[in-house]
Amino acid sequence: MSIGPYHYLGLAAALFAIGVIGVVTRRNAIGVLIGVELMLNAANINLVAFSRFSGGLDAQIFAIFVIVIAAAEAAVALAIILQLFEKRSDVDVDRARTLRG
Amino acid sequence: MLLAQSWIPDLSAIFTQFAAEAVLCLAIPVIILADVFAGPARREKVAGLIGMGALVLAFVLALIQPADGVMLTKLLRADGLAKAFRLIAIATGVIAAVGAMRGEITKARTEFYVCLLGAVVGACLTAAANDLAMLYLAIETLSIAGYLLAGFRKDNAKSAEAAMKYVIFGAIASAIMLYGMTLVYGFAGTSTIATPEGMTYASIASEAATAAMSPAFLIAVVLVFAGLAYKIAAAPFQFWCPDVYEGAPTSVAAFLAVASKGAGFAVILRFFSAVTSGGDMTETLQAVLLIVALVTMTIGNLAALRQNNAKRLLAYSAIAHAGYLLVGVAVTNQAGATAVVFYMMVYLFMTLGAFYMVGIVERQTGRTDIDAYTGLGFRAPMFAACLAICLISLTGLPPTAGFPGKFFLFQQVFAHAGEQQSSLFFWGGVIGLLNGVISLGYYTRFLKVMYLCDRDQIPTGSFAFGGIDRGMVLMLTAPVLVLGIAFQGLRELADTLAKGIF
Repeated sequence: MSIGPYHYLGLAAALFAIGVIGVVTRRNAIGVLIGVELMLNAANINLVAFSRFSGGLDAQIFAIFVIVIAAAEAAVALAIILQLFEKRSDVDVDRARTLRG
Repeated sequence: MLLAQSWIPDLSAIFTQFAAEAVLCLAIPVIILADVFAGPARREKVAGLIGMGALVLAFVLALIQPADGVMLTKLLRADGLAKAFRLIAIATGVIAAVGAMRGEITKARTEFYVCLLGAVVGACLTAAANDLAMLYLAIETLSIAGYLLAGFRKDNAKSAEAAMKYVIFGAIASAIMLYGMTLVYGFAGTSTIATPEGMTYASIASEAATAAMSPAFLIAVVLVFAGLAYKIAAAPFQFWCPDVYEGAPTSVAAFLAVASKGAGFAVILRFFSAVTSGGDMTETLQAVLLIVALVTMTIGNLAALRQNNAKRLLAYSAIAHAGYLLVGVAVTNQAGATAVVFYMMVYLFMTLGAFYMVGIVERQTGRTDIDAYTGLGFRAPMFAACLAICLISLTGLPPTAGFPGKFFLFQQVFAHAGEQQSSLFFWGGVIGLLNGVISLGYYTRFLKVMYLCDRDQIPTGSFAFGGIDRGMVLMLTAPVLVLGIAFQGLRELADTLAKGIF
């Protein structure tokens, strides 16, 4: 059996689903971020697979941009989570409820 | 040699069409370097000077930049829509910077300006993006700078919580959007969004117009819309909005409410014009957009009714307005796009005005609850009158600019309902108008505490309202009144700027 584009799309969909489950079930902000990284990488697999089977390179360039953005986003998110941790020594997403109503 | 000849004219042309963005990008390293060399005493002053100078210069350049829509690259489009939302983003940046410098941001102004300029550049490029990769890059530039701005009051636990909520939910929404984008790319075989007139290359618009699209493509479009709905605070991705606006500095909340939302709407107009260009899913997508719009405005208006915090109230009002604007997108035609651009320009003045005045009250009293406005109609008549004008305009009543704005939006809905014999759009229009009545309920609460309070409840003590504050407020409020009566010119302008989107 040869590996075709649908195998890659299936892998990406599974990875995306795992990411979504992680995001929904994790209460720790860092855990949520890890789920988001899985979702982003599912998109990357899609891009690289499309590039591989259509012959163009632009999707691979898109994927490289996504990797860079993901790193920047993670850096900012971790800095913000750290700042919150200093205020309340706790990074539980559910317990961040000073702002509500 | 050949390469040099073919590239140099291209680059110079890019700089004429994107001069405003170029100035803002250049200003960022200049501010950082100036901060190093200025020394601790003059640091804040130098940052403010360069930052504000760059924003004002960019605004002037954006005014005179051509909007002929000639494409130099497939990635960006310098058309009327890009020009309209670029002007909105830069103007919002200027006003947010003035508001922040009036006392909210006293420390680390260099960092503030770097983040603000980054966010403005992101918003400008988002409005001009014509390629999914460029779009993702621009939206993330706007978002990441926005996350930092929301958490800028480092000594404040609320600000940290607001930034955390914004970044976590923002990261989730953008990951969903990106996954949708890759699927759209896979279906269309290209990441270019639209093919402008006179060009021949393939784009999502040209593919969607010719090929029959599978339901899976619809899912991909909805995934992209989920990420964009987060940016404009539309249901079901609106829950972050009140928390973030309450915790963020007021001027940053104003920036998110206008520039960030405006950029989101520019993309939504572009993207939906591409995916509804003649395919068989157009009606389904119109229905999806209309239902999201109605749910958004109803949630926003009903939740605002029980708010006592002025910033949260304005946040729910911003959610409701995302709903009104989406109604104009849902009809997916030229007249709808014109109505959206018109309303966005009016929304700029009235929302920034309201946020600026909430910021003034917050500075003077340290409070954001509605009781802090008690008796302002007598203590500061000018201030109260300006706030009243902005709030009446947000409700959409004449003689303010909100009235023609809402009129044009809902006119399109009923026109569409008549053309398509669509009862969904007819009842959608009716629900939208009823929402206007609900919104009267909470905007008038401000008027009630300002004007109809007991004389003995009025706090003594003076309310300072002068100098820069008075100038800014008058500058933002006067257009709301003038455009409410003489709106024909702005309507024609909106028509020119929105040309060629659908």
